Amino acid sequence: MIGVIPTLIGISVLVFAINYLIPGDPALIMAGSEASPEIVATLRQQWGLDQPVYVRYLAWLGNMLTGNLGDSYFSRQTVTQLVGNALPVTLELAILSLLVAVLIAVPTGIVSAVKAGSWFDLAAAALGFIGLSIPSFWLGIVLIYVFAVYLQVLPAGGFTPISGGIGANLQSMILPSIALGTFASTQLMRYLRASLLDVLHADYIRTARAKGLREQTVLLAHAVRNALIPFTTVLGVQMGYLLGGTVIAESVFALPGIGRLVLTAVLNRDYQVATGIIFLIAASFVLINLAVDLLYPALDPRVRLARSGG
Amino acid sequence: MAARGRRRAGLLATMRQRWPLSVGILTVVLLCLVTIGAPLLAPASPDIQNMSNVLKPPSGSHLFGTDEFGRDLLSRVLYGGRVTLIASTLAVLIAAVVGCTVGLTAGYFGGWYDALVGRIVDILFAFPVILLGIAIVAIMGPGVVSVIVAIAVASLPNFARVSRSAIVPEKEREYVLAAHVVGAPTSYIIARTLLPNLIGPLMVLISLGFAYAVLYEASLSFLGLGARPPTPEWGVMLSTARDFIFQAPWYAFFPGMAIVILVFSLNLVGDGLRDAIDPYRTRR
Repeated sequence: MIGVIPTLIGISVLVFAINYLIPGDPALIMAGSEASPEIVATLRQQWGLDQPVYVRYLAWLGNMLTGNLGDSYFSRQTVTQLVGNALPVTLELAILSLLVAVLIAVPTGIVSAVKAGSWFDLAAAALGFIGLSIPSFWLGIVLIYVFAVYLQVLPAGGFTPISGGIGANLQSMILPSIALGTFASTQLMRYLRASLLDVLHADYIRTARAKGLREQTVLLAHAVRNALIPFTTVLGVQMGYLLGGTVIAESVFALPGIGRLVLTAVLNRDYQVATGIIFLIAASFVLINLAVDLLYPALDPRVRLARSGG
Repeated sequence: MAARGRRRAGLLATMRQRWPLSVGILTVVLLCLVTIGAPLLAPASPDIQNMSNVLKPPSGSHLFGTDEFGRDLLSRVLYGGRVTLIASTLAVLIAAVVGCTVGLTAGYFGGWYDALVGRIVDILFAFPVILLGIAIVAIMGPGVVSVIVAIAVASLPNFARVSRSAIVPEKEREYVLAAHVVGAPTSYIIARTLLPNLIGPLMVLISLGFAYAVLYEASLSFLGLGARPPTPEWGVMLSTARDFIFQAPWYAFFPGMAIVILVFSLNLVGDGLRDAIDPYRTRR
């Protein structure tokens, strides 16, 4: 757990290195190419750009930790403001996509494992395999065509915040969530099925059945609970996928989230915004993995005991 | 004569038995040939514009329709595979070479080097490619090179892990110690004694890595981080097609299907190889 700190430091060094390595002189950009060398030099001094590298790194780190992520070169807002506006959108998208993925993967995975070899299992496996090959942005475009162009029941893009009505908000989020969640669900389903199959052949399941428990109880209380443990690892990996996937979904469906923010920042060379967000994302990625890591003992008593030395 | 006949029957029978693998390989080869042969097969140049013929649906003269500049979509789809295939190939090869080198040396030498590599690989393993791509584009600017680097870096961990776990159980074995005693250089030991174990899993990883690379090359280009217009490339075309989804839905269909078919067949190959090399794998 303490090992997280060097990782975070390592990430901060990396991100700062990106910041530092970016070609172009921020002072020159701000002053404009017409400005005299004196103005550029003054600007450079003002912004501390003439300090040695490690001083700049420490200053940057200090800023990051106190919440000052810098200002955007383009809009007159601070990075913190921009992030604050965009974060709820992305969070909602991520949560809904995860929900979609779990809602698809869990029942399908369980039924596939229980009825291994049946037509359902084979069909689910085939569909999962196909789903793995479909890029989520294309799925998004296809969904837009079917639901927005052909059936005309859902919007083709854009975001309606909850303040505009929960119904409208969900309408703008359904298609993106499905586009993202489907891909993630294929992996989840595979893993759940595999780990559940392993579990179902274990001795303690036989004992539970011999005890006379109803099949449903055996399944839910024992099998699924144990199969969920490796499932959680995969969930962690899928979260990583979802983080990247939100960039795609927000692009396809024109949602004003963090993904789109960092994308346009990089393409417009708005480097303060870009590196600030990259740091945030990398750091939260590490923290999420830490959280998943901490979740393990809660789910698996064996890990809990092993860790406490019992 | 009899011996030759027997061997040929063996191959055909295997191909028919492992038909998903065969279908996958054939499709991939077909797509590669079609893309490489684009100059011969394409009905028109992908760059010729015709502003009186924009966004037309599929017809006799334009089998896939036309785009917003009146360019023939079939030709653009045929040529579009080139960037994707070349970029994906390079990315996977770089990932394989670097990843295996790192994995093999880490597994063989152990110590702090192994621990450090392990940490970095763990972090990279689940790190989203898209964000990696964005970070690399921030430094290097958009372009196919940035995409290749991003995908190579994201694919490294798999190769590193697999090669490391292939070498660790082997390095204490007698034949390795024997080679050491005789004075064989380490690189020779690794190459001759340990690499052969790796060939099978490596082929699987490369095929699956290819599928992954194609998928993400298209995604990164879709976002504007990779190939740029007017280069015909499937991801770029889909990005434009999305804006014209109301007027010209067919525009998005063909490049998308091309990606799906390619990735699907690459996955078939990867999965088929995985089944083929591991006889103990529990069948569905």
